[in-house]
Amino acid sequence: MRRAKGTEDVVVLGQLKLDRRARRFSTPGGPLDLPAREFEVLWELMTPPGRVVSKRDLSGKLSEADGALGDNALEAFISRLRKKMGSSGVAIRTLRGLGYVLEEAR
Amino acid sequence: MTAGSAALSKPTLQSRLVRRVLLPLVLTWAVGTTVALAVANNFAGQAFDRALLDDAYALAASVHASPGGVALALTPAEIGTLMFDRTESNYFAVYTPQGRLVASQGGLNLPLLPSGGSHRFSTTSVEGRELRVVSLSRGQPAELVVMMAQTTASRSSLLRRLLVYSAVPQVLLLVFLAWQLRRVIQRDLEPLAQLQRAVDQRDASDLTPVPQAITRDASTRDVERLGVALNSMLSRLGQSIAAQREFAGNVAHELRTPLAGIRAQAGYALAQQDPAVWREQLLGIAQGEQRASHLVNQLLALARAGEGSASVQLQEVELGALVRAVLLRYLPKADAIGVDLGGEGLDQAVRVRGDPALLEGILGNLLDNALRYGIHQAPRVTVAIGHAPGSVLLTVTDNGPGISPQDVVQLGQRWAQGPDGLRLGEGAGLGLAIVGRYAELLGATFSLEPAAGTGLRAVLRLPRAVAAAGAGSSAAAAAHLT
Repeated sequence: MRRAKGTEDVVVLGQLKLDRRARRFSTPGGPLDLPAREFEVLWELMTPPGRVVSKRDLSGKLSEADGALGDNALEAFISRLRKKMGSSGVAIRTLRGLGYVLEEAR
Repeated sequence: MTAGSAALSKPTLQSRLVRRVLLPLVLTWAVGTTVALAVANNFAGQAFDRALLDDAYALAASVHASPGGVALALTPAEIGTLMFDRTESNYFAVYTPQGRLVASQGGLNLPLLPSGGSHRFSTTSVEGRELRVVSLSRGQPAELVVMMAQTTASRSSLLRRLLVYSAVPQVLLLVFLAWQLRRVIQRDLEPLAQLQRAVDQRDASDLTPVPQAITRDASTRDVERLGVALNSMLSRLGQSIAAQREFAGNVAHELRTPLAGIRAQAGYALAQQDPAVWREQLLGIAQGEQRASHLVNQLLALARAGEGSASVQLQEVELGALVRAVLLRYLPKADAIGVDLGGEGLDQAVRVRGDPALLEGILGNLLDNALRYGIHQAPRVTVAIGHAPGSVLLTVTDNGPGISPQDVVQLGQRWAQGPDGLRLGEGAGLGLAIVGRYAELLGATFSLEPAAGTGLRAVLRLPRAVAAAGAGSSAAAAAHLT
């Protein structure tokens, strides 16, 4: 499993960078403009990167903000995130039955 | 003195027994023979004395009063007849109480011995001859003392004959008895000699029972007891050695996975420059060491508690979280060999009564086996938590070649390996035996069965009585769990 370099304020994995203070993701192509829920999903996966986050935990985080979230809705967010991160050199990997993990694209 | 020379200086049990029996026997015989001879000698002496006294009375009857005092009224021929004896020399003398010799015969000067009553026997030596003497006092027809003496050659001869005729047969009897005693003792002690030979020649690893000649077919109850006790000790020794071997095997087997994890984490950390990564890997290493130590302690406790009576303090365990943690530890290994490792039903909050170390040991062994032997085309291993009536099921399913029903039975034995294990030259054949033992300690059952399609499905069935459903479980699960 690949690990990212990180400091307290800035977390980097591949070419994806998270500025925790500014609460902003960016790639070499520029800042990622993410809706709130997608941002929350990616935040969870990036802090720290390489951590396996279960669907239940992700659903729980998102549900806190805006009601209950089903598996299908979560997978829809993940699918959209994958498309937006296509050029970041980072991929969201699905671990069957375990959740998701962010890792450098192979 | 060395142990060997000390042993040689000690008597054998056989010689000791013979000596302990024979010595008192010989002493008893000697005392008995002496007493018997003394009694026989006494009675024989009385018979001789009576004959001597009779002669003295006959002589005294031949003494008459005469003008000069007393005189012996016997002719020399009569005296010869009276004194005739084929083997002994006889002597007599007749004295007055004042000590005057009235008559004598035999050419031996018999001294006047006091009679002290009517008669008295005594033994004396006169002129180098040992004599038996009787002194007879008479008041009629005149006061006189008749002394009759006889040599003791017949008495001595009789005593010798008594000694020979009684002692020689008894000595021969004693020798026969000693020979017979030695033979019987030797025969009865032969099983002990057999036992000694059997133990001497035995290899240190040979704990088979001693020969039946020393137990069931033993000639004496004592030897049989000894043989049975020895067999019992050999049996206990065998169990102890087996337990030690099992403990060593379990430790070696169970430490392999955590040590491999520690090695992988250390290798990864050494390849990185980021202190944060080092710290993360060090934490992983510390956790791995902690798990390994806990595992060893558990195995030690099991070994100390004994094979059959071991008990584990069960506690509530969140099964989903435990399985998830184990799976995450195995993910790098599965990734490295291209196995799709996943889970099912892990998000349920299923709580069971169990022991985390044993449950992790079971799952770790099953995952080791699945990742080692369950690999086929598009390898896929799935750990699932499911429910059956009255049970919580923990299953590990692979899509590998599976195993035959015969191999399923054999693989439950310790040190047994299936064809794939032998082909790969990996493992020790302990994993499934350990899984079975752990399942037993958890009150669970373990089985192997064919998976749907191809592959193998390992099933740990935790009874409902020791499982509990926590919050968040499905309605179906809650219906099965208490």
